[in-house]
Amino acid sequence: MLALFFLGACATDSAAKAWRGIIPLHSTREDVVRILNQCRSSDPSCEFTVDDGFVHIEFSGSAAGELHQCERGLHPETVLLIEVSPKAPSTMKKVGLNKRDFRTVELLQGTKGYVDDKSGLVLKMYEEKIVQLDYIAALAERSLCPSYYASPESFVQEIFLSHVPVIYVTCPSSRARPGETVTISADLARQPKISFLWRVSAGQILAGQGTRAIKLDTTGLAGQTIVATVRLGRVAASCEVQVAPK
Amino acid sequence: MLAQRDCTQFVQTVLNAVSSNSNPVYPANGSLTDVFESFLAQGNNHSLLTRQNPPGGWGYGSPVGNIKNGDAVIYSPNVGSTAAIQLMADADTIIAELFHFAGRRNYYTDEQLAKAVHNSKYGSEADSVISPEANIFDKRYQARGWTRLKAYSAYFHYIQYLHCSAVPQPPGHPRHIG
Repeated sequence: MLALFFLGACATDSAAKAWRGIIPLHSTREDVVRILNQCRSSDPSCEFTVDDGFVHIEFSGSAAGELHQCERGLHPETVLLIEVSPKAPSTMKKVGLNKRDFRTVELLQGTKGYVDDKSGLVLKMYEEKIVQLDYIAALAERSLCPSYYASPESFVQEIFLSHVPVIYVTCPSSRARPGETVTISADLARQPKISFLWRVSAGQILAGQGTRAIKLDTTGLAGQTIVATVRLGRVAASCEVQVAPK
Repeated sequence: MLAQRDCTQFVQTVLNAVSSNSNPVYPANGSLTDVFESFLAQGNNHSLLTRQNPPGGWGYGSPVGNIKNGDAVIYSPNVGSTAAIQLMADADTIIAELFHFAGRRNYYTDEQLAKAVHNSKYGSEADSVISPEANIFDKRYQARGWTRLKAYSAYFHYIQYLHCSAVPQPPGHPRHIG
């Protein structure tokens, strides 16, 4: 059972390793909904809990390819990343993995990264136990999203450099005119491999969902205060946009 | 901000709890403003803020050195797309790290600080900023790739931000760890 949770099989020699039937660059959101009954919203990523772990799935961006910079030919709802954090971390041996198949990368605070380039399995280990598994594209297919997959070890690297995991969100300091499009941005030292998920208390996000900055339409919001919240993995922060009265 | 009543009370509660005979608060019985002034008064022989993750740090952004020894430095990563955001981030980082620097001989660790908060009246605020799965003191806690050090850091600093922060959040929407 444990081994089933951790590991899947490769669909073909060149395809990435699968997790519960989901294969990076081969499966789509539709497959995730069908197989797992998860990720129904159109957000660029989704998170859910399974019986023995926590899962984050990242999808390719819009047809314009702004998010994750994949080839235009790639279906915009393609699975790019499956990140699994097991509730009960286990050793490589227990889940049938062999260290010899991986190259090792030293990370921070005693954590280590293990990368199997060929199959696209990246592990984060702490005290000899697997604390995170990232299923990414197999080596042979990474050219479909070259910048996203350029550094497999970055999938398990710490995204918060400050010792406190924190993200800075900035709204315009002056009041917006009703109907004005305002930009709200999130700042972070590193370029994470997961999406910035934005929510606003009112108004419509015109562009940028999933990225560091969104454009917000304030039409019809005269006199209102809008709270914009961004979440990156476990971390969330907010700011306020004030819209002037008519 | 450090002198505001809410912040000073939070600081007093935390530092009283972590202070010990072997590692008392420096300056003696000092507030966070006193710690900050001591940090600034170290002299001009080294810069007080660095953008380079220093050797001997905790591996990511961290306090390095010791105020009493005159070699304290704060690592504050370059995060800002503008100077204003960087200034805000630096101020926030400095406030957070001063709690660690308040120990006369050694840093007060995130674990010590988190336990001090957890055992105080401020521990009841955890639910507003930390989900049970991210709360190291909750039986539902899940590491999800985090080390215990990071979990203690998140616990302490996210409650600290409710009282002492350079980056105010909208009312009812505090920074949150899920």
